[in-house]
Amino acid sequence: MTAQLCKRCSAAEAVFVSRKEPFCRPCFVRYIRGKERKQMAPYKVTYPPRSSSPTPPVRLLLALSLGASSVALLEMLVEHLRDQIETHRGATGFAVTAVHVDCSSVSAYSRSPAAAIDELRDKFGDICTFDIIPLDDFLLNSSDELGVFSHGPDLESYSFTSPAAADDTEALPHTVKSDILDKVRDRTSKRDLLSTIIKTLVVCAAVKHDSPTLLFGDTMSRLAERVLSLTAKGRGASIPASISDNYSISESVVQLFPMREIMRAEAGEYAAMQGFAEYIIKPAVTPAAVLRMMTIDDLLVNYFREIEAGFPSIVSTVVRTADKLKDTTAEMDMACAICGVKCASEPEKWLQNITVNTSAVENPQEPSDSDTLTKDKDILCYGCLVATKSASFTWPCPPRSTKEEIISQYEL
Amino acid sequence: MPSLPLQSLCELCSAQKPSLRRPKTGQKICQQCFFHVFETEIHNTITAASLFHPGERVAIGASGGKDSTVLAHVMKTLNERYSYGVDFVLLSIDEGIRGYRDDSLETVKRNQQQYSLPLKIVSYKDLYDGWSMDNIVAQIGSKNNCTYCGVFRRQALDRGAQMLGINHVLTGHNADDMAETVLMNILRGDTARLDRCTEIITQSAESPIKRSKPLKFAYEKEIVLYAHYKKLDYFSTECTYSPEAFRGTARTLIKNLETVRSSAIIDIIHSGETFALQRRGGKNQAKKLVAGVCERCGYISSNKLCKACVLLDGLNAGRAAVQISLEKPGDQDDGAALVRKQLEHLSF
Repeated sequence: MTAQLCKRCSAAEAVFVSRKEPFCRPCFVRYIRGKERKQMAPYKVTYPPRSSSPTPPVRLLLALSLGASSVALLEMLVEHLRDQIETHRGATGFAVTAVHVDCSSVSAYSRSPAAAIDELRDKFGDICTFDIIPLDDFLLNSSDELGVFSHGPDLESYSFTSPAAADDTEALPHTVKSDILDKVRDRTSKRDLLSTIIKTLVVCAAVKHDSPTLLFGDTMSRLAERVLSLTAKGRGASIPASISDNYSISESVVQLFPMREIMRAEAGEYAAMQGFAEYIIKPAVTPAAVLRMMTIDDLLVNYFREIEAGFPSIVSTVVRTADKLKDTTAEMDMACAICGVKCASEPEKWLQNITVNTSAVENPQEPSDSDTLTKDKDILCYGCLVATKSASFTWPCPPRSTKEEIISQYEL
Repeated sequence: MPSLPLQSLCELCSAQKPSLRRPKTGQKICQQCFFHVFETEIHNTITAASLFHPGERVAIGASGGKDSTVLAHVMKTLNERYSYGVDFVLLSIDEGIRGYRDDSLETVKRNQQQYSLPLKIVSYKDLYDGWSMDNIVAQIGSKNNCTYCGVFRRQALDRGAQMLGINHVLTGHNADDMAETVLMNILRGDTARLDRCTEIITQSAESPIKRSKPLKFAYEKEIVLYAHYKKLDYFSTECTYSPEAFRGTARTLIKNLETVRSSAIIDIIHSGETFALQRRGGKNQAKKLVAGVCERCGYISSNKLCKACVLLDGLNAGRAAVQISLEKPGDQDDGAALVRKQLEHLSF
């Protein structure tokens, strides 16, 4: 069999077939980078009218999970910056800080994330900066850095420290963290809550670094999975907040998904081609193969992998459809105490109405504990309500700061 | 009497021995409590949406399957228990699928006796120039025939209700169906339906009759258990004509999600209820349908001809050749569904 030629340049031998098109390495790299550059178009080097010195660069924060896609995105940004430096005599349209939330205290990885970050810093420290945040900052960092979460007077006032951790207030951060996530028995909820924590931490980091834009390395495949996963977890209302470009995730930060037109396989292949595979960290534990042991996210990864063969356009259809959804949360007036999404007053009522919990013989008028619960408990959105149902503890519900508080704290 | 350890008692009443694990919540409960929660949830759904008003005549779309049988049973029970004051009628559609619908219609007829409700049967043959589903499949083959059946059934239900002077039809769609529809609409990118697919009452310019789904929060598995413990008489064969392959993948996904987290089905419906589309002015408004009537049959339609008449035209155009070979349509050879069913029972 003769080797296939690249369809773009018709000169070199194809090394990778993507969307039924054979590519040689240079054409593939160019093709993928083109998709990233299209999304990053607003961050060109600009010159104010009648001036020869460019506008100072905007600081962008990259949420670097060290998975294949975010590592690929890091490489693209580095190359993008190098190109700008070359063509604009040292000037750039943006600056990048890559932030990694270190989850190694709760899940094991193939290699230490800190070591990977150190290597990246050694290699690209001149182009961008790197930051690593321990997961426990979510609970323990009471300095101003964590903005919205820093308002509880001290740890003891949070109910999550009791009963297990309260008798050991000197506990190490890691112990507290894993203790709390350990109490969530349901795997899906655990992962769900963990991703809420990670997102909160990177948003806080963006505020801290004064960065108006947060970049996520999610590929189109990942976004499609997230749409269905959020739907399946009862978080349908958060879809626009989780996949839309330029969505304000906090008062001063918007999100951007520069990889939204790239498929997962392409991102993986790209990272490997560019020699970045060594920085990718993988979970040391392979996802469960038994249905009962899977999380909803695992299940959807598998679903898309299987269905893509028969119905190839499905991934982009899902993302495009979800993009047309309106952000209904904007009209709500309460905020969920855990994920911060705005929600209708009482998602619990909706659930109670259709999941009756009274017995056939008892007097149905007997007051249930639900009435008292809604009074002294914080409002939870439906998704967090479902996620914490399996937890045997009361999830920490720090008071959210008001708009005024945040402004007074961060406005210069 | 020896007292049972606490663990082996119903989680709701703590008095009876549990006889099932509730699919929706995983609670171990007794039969009485199961009936109670299942019926009360449907009652809550009905009252929350103010589905009925006293004195209303309402048709229950009855296919003889588990969903509509449980629906008829629960509606009769709740109507008596909570005095809705509703007059229920069973309405069945005979698609003309031998080996499938003829058997299930027998079940509906027994249900009519059991629940002492009036029954009206409307057949495709009478409504659509003598076309039954068996004839349609014989002509167009076994692919895409769900399109015909779907369009025809929707209109047949409306026409049946009109014949009875009723403008509200209940259908047996359950929570699994709703969740499946939500996922299907996302997967297919059907934005026209995405934001309204979880509504309990559907009323559109395309249909003069209001539809509602009192079982929209009832799990399919609970409907099966309810029918089993109540010893309801229902017909449990799937339609033998081809189900859509893509829908099958969504259905499998729902089942898997339910295994991972039992609340997933209602969680999906909750998500579906929050979906709203960004309406960009002008474009959508221009498309707004103007309700008129079909020139030929008088059924509500936004076009000159209603969908059913358009499909019928297509069928009739190809009919001539068929009629030559079939002199007596009445005792023509068996439909594909019946043949397949008979083949399944062959043994050597």
